[in-house]
Amino acid sequence: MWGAWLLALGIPVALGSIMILGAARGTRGIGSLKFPFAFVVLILVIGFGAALALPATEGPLSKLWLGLPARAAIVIYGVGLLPIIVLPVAYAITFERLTLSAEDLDRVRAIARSGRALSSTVGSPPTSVIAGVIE
Amino acid sequence: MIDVARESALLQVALPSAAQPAVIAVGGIYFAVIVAISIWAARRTRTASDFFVAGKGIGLIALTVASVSVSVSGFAFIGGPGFIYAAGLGAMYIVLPAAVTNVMGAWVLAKRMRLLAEARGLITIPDAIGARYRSRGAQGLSAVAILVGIIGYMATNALAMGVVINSIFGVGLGWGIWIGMGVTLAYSASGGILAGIYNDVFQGTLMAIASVLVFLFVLSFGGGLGDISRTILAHDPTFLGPWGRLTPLAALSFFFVFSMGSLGQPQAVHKYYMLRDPLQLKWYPLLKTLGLVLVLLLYFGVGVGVKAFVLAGRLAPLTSPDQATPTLLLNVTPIILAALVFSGVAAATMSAANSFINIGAAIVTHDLPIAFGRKVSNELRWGRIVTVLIAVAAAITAQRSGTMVAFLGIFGWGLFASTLVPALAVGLNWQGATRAGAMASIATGLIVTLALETTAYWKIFTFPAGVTASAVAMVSSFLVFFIVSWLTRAGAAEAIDADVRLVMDL
Repeated sequence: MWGAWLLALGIPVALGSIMILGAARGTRGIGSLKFPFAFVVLILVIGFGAALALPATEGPLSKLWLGLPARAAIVIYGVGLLPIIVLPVAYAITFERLTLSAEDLDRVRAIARSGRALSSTVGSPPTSVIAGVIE
Repeated sequence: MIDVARESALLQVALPSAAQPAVIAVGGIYFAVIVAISIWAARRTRTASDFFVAGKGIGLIALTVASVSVSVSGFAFIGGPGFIYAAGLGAMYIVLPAAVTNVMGAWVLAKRMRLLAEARGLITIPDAIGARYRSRGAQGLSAVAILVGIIGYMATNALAMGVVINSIFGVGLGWGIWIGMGVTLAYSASGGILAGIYNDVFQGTLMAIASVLVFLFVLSFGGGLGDISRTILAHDPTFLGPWGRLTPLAALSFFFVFSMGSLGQPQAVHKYYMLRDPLQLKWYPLLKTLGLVLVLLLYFGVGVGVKAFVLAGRLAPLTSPDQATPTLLLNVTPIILAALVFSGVAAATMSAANSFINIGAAIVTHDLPIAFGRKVSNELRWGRIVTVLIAVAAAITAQRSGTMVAFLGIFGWGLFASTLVPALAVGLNWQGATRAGAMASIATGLIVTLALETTAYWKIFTFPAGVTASAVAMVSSFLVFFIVSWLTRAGAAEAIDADVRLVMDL
């Protein structure tokens, strides 16, 4: 059983960690995204934890939550649906500020123009040529 | 306990014949639309970039629907509901990660891959690995890993197509395989990924409509989800427990593989290159997640609904779990709905097959030559030739190798996950990752996945409590990636080209 508890804690932490890694921009961190990330990690921990910890009382007389017994409802609606409401919306409303702006895109296009004529065998422009664009 | 490996290959089934006039007519219309889209797309495909990444010119809605379409194979329509019927709610841990995976993929991969395409004109996933690590070796090794996974997926999808087409038209399994692969091949070879994308849009729309209609029908027929649950709870309460008949370890192990592993699925990740305007990524995760929820309603609805109908005596007991969807469609639903779903299953398998054919052709004509320091002179022409060869090879494999196809299909997802997630998903976001770490992790993922899946398939060794081989392989690959990167960390950040570093910093 301890293995299941490790996974129930480890999976949310692993998913939260890789989202933070992906959302972080250089040394600027993730800004206000820490709130939706924390919420989703907590939802997953609580959902998996409740499924493990609550007693198995499912039966014909069980109280149903939106059509499912309590533990199943926690998993299906909590783990399966709640993150949908939070994460993609957080991604969209912070997109220009924390993910990608038109200015970011211009910088990449500028570096592409600088290095295009000098690409090597794996399409790599020499660092010295394009360093100026980055600075 | 449920035999996870066997249940994972649930599409290897004999569907009952659905060859009735309405089903044949809808199937015929479906194939006619596919042909029309393919002819249109073929006229617009002029370069290798058009062929492999649609010239980076696909709009947001089209790309989203296409991505949903390739993310859902026929398993979601046939094998998945059967898996729920057999395993209970534990089978939901394969699809529950969809709540997180699309937006996770957007943060971790979408922006950086699309910007790499902008900076370098990249067209394949191994291209991105080659550029990140400045290494032809890493590019070649990742290409080999993807190719091995594609062999399995292609053979599985070819067989699935044969099963479905035989069920719709009654032409026999062998002809079903060749007809399905022939149509897929026709649009793959002529219109490349452009034909694939717009066929995916049509197919994804069809799948979503069919899924929603069947879900609503099941709820109506069963008197609502509450009544369906009450019926099941009266006979089999374990079914509606949070893990169903799986152990918690097995269910959570599925969740881990299908969440983290989603970052290494080439059929989905490859799509990031194709978006016309990178700034449109803003709405991509939201739209794709909502689309996936619609398409997966059938997975849940049919699995749970058929269980209740059988327990209540409204349907005869199934001969095998994978008969859940066909039994419901052919005995209970209106025939036009059955026709839509059967065409939807054909759509799902053809969509996945097309995507894998295209990725495989790009690997053979683009990545492997680069790994050996060569360049194919006419990638478009060779892309079309290799597309034909891959499709024919998959059809022959599906027709001749019997149960081996099921085995090939099992390890595809896990192989992509264990070989690509550390090197690609972590590597594009962590400047401490090194070329040696990436190559070691790809090799580890390849070897460990093949070894563990082989020993599990032949019942030589399986992990206790239902832990999947894919999960163990992915964890091994991660560990090797971090350890080797740490051991070879000297100069890691300096080994990244300036433009790639800019993309990683943004």
